[in-house]
This record gives sequence, C-alpha cells and structure tokens, in this order.
Amino acid sequence: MVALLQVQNLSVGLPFSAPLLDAISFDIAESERVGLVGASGCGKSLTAGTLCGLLRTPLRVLAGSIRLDGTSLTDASPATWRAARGRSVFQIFQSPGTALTPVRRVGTQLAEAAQIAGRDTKAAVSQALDAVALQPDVTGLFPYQLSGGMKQRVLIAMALILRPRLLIADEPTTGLDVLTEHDILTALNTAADETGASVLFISHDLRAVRRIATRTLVMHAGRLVEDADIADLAISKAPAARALATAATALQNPC
Amino acid sequence: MLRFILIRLAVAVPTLLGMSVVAFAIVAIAPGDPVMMELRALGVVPKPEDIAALRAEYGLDQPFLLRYLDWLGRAVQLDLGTSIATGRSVVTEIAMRLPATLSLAVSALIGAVLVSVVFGVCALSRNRGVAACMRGLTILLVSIPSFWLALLFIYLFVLTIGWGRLVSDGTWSDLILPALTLGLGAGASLGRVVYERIRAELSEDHIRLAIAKGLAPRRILISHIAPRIVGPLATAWANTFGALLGGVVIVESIFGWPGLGQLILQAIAQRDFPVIQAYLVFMGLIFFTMSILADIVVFFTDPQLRRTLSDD
Repeated sequence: MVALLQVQNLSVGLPFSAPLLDAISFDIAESERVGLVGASGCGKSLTAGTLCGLLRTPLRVLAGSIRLDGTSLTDASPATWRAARGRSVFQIFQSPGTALTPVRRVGTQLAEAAQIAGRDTKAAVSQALDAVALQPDVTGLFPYQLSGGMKQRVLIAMALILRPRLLIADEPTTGLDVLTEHDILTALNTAADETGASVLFISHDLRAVRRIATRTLVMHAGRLVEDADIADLAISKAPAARALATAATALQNPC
Repeated sequence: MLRFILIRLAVAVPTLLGMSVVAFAIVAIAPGDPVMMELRALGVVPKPEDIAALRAEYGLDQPFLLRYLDWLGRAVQLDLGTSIATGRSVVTEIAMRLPATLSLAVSALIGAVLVSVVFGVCALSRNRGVAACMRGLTILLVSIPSFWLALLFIYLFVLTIGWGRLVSDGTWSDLILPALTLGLGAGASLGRVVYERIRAELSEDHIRLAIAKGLAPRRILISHIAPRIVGPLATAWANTFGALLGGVVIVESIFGWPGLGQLILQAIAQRDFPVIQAYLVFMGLIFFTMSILADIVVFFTDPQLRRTLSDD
C-alpha cells in the first residue's frame, strides 16, 4: 500500500531541553484507520497538533520529517500549511464544547468548510448533517444550544464536507455517555467510509479504538513503543502496551 | 431589545441622581467663592453687606440640601441656571461649545480605534521586527503626555512646516492636530487591549479549529476573532471616550479649539458654580450614553446573552 502519511524520527519540544516527542516514526496508508493510544500526557495530542501544524508557541519541531500526500510539511511555509489543512489533513478536537466559534451559527461554520472544499454549500451541509444523524435545523442554532455529542457530530459533519485525505480524531468521545459515544464512533466510521479518508484515532480507551481501527500505535513518555494489531497488545514486549491491554480487560469484567 | 434598554435606563436613574449629588457637592465644598471672585475682578473692595446681598441673589446663603433640591428641580427642566461670570444661561453657554468638543472627542475616538486596530494587529505580526517596533511605539505613545505631544505637533506642523494654525475658528481642517494629539495616545493604549484580546482568542480551541479548516488568517481575524472581541472592545472604547472628554480640556486650550475646554477652565478660575456643575452633569450624561451604547454592542454580539435577556 502507498503511504499517505510518513513520519520519520519526529522530535518536538523546546530548544535545548529534553524533547516531548522523541524520534517517533510511523506510516499511515491510504484509507487505513490507525489507533494511537497511551496514558494521559504521553504525547498523543501533541502528535496530532504537530501533524496539523498547530503547535502552541514556543513548542517546535526539533528534528525529523512529516510527509503528507507527497508534500513535506516539516519546513513548510504558512501558505503550504494553509493549502494542506482542511483538504489534506483535518483534526477533530478533544473538547467539542469549545471547538466551535460561540458567536457564529452552526450553519455558517459548516458553510465555511464547504467553501474551502469548493463544494456546493447547501447540498454539502445537508448531506453531511444527514450522515451524522443531525436535523437540518441545527444550522440555525448557536453552539451553546447543542449538547456535547451534537457538537462533536457537527465536527464530524465538517470533516465530511472537507473530505480530507487524513482525518485525525483526538479523543472525540471523552466525557460523553456510552450511547452518545456509540453514535459518535458510528458517525466517524461513516465519515471515513464516505470520504475514503485515512484516520488516526487518538484515545486512551481501547474499547473505542477497537470500533475504529485494528492497527494500534502505543505511546509512552513521548516515544512510540509499539505498532501492532490491537488484539496483540496484551502480549506486547512494551510494558506500556501490556498495561493498557490489562486495564481494558479489567474494566470489561462484569460487575 | 427595547426591554433591555428600558431596564438599563431605569437602573440609570439612581446612578444619575448620585452623579448629580457628587457634581453639586464637589463644587459646593471646593474652596473659593464666586461672589468674592467677581467683586475682586471688578476691583471693588467688598463691604460685608454687598457680599451678603450678592450671595442672597445667587442663593448661596441657603443650606446645601435646599440649594441642591432647588438646583435639581430646575435641572430636570433643563434649566441649569445662569453663569455668574457672563450672566448668560448655562445651557446656552454649553450648547454653543458642546458640538465643537463632541466633534473633537468623536474624531479622536475614531482615530484611536483605527490606530488601536492597526497597532494591535501589527504587534501580532509573524515578522518579529514589525511586532517589536509596534510594541515599542505603543509604549512610547502611551508614555507621552498629551500636552507635550501637542507642543511637538505645534512646533512641527504649525511653526516649521506651516500646515496648521494656532488660533482655530472651528473649521474641520483645524480639527486634525488636536484630534491626532488626543487620539494617538488613546489609540496606542487601546492597541494593547486589542493585542491582548486577539492573543487570548488565538489560543482558544475554536480558533485552532478555524486554522485546521484551512482558513486564511485575515478571514479568521474578521469572521472568528472580531465578533468575539468587539463587545469587550466597545466597553473599552466607551471608557476611552470618557477619558478623551477629560483630556479635551487641555488640548482645546493649547490649540485654541472653541469647545468646552476654555469655558470650563475659565469657570474653574472664577468659581462659576452653575457652569462647573452643568459641565460635570453633561460629561456624566455623555459618559453614561456611551456606556449604554457599549452595552447594546455587547448585547448584539453575544448570542447567549441575547437569548437569556429575551427569555427573562
């Protein structure tokens, strides 16, 4: 398979101090769905931010390379990043509550995505909302009028409109109840099926990862310590991967 | 919306009353006496009975509370008394000069808003040189007192280049230098507010999403940041307008602009109580109107507040 995303020896952090992401390397093939798991603070969200060029100052890429769809993004100009964002790579954020601009209606924010993707606004917004099981009248509402799960579905609808080659979902089900979590994961799979996008699904919950991907990357303290099938994590040589698998199994035990 | 304004106006009644007490009291307890000033100005050596007669004529022999209630009763009918110095109605004196002062303060505010947006946005420039220059210029302009800037402008534009004149008759071209003098410092100071507001917004998730969508920086600034910061900025603009009205007094005197500045300086020197009181009340009213306008901007730019107030 052709690699859509190639990450080589990527290190991120502050100059002259220990890196927060330490020489991580992985590939994601076209239309492949990959899970990225690890304990809180291990560098998952930082990896997502780096792949979207959304590092918070003063963090920066210290070494290594990112190639997405044949384009090197490591030393890319702001214009190259702008062209890549939305169309080549898009990210759904961890906190749906704060991810939408509070003073703009949902419809306006979705229409903006349609304009970037060069699609017919009305049709694209309506199809996307239908795919994530949201009523068309949400377009007239402001974000504060939606529940957390609805906001997350709006973000997935945005991804459906943008049709990126790589969709990064950074813990999209955190803080949601199990029913809403089920709806979100279904919507995410629908989005990936419809757009053919590769997915990097970030979570600390192996149950959720299993719904989206089989191949799983495990991070620990800024390093990538495992790249294996989710079913094999329990027999991994990496203690962090085994610990995650053990914890997931323990949580699934009936009460 | 109408209900919101009506509630805001109803709440304003006690505020305005309090303001009128303060305006009246500040002047009443200030040292000095207009009667003595007037007699001295006329070169008269006052006899105690002359002083008593004049004090009785202006009602200054009455107790404070009675004087205040009498003044308030007439003030609500827009009768703010007669100037002790000129003998003309105070409302006429103020009405003659208020448009000039307001046009100067409004021009200075418009200039300040434009300067603040340019400074605030440029200070965020990716070009470190531009950003550092803008921050340096901001600190410089905030630190320079307006009277010094006025003297610098007079030296440069009036005495050296000859673009302006020192004695103004109120034409629009004479407005430029005093408006710049007032507006630059206020604009630089507001520029810090714009800069800090935009910086705070840039770290918000919804701005990161807008960037992740692939939107251009200008579009993000106009569509996603501006609607969020315009409410707080409107409040800062209203406060700045109040400060500009205060600063107008000095700048008008330096540039000879025929506004309220010269009137109030003269009134203070002569202890012309009715003029000073009326000036304070007018300034309070203008400040209050600006703060209502700022509240209306906040109301329109915050959908959640709009909904809450319409549900109440």
